[in-house]
Amino acid sequence: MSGRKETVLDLARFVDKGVSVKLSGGRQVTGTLKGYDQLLNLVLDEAVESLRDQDDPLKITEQTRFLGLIVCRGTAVMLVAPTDGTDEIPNPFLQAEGA
Amino acid sequence: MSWAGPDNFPSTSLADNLDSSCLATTEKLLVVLRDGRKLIGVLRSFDQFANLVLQNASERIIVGDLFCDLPLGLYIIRGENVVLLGELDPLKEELPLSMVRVKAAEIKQAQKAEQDATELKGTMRKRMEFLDLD
Amino acid sequence: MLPLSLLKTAQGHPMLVELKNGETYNGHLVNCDTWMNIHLREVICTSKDGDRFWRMPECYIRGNTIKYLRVPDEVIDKVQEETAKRSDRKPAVSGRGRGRGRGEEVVAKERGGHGGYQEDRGRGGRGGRGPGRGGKGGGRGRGQ
Repeated sequence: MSGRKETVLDLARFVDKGVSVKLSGGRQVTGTLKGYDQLLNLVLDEAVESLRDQDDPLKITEQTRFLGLIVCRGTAVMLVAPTDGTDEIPNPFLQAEGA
Repeated sequence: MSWAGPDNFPSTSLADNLDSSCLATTEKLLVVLRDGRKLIGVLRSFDQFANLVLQNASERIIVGDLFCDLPLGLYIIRGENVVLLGELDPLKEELPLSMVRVKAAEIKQAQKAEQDATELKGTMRKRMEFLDLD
Repeated sequence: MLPLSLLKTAQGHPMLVELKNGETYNGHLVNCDTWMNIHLREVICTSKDGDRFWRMPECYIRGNTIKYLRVPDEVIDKVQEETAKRSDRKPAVSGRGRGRGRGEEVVAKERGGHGGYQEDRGRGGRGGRGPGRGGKGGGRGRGQ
């Protein structure tokens, strides 16, 4: 039985690797995972925030802002994914819908 | 299912519904989510957080007097997103007769048009903000 | 059959997760816990307006950001099979006080996370109450 958070995702695999983190409120940060705890507080080095469109905060833009060494508060972390292999792609559902 | 009886179960109505729906599988429920979505399906289970399992769920999209039910399947809904949960009377009309059922493609188009209209309204309002209308 | 046990049964199956912010994630469920935190593999992320897409090898989603999950229809049949199997192993104990039993099952699950050994000891330590607790949780699950 997996009652504890760290059993769902073993963050140790991501240490010293690039991770992309979405925070509640809509900010998105990428950086190198340096540390973490069971509450999902994360330490990111060389963190870069992806800035959002001023008129439409749902859209992230190409603009970034360098943050450096940061701590992401666990309660604000919505999503963690490795940067490696994460790419924007064209609509993958189009063929499926057309068929 | 073997419920011990409603006397020692606090939220009887929801449990009764569950009972009958498990037996008959026809008792349709309407679930309204916080984002305004309306889901219709059979309640299969729930827990103390009001997380719901909705089987044979479909989303009812209403734009003006057009409507459409998109069949979507098996849902687990996180309780905090539920606004209301209501039984549908199978003998009564669900919607006024003036409403027209249309195909999925049509309702999507109508929905898009409505979205664009509200978006335009929003930007117009923003541009006029300097007038201090309020 | 609780919503979270259905989710547990859906492990390995493809699913769609919509977050409160409107983003959707399509992927295979690797793991989940009692907080509804989930780990997906081979994920496609779709933006709220549905016009941008990202592929990611895996992702972890915090339970409290989830709006709903769509799982394949056959999972509900599987969960019934599994509960039936479980009732074969342990004979049913009469269920009582279901209302509170619900909450306790979740607590029991969280305890279970610390390992089977502790769980067994915990039950023994509590003496007469231990088996009663197990009976309540299990009895209901099988009943359905």
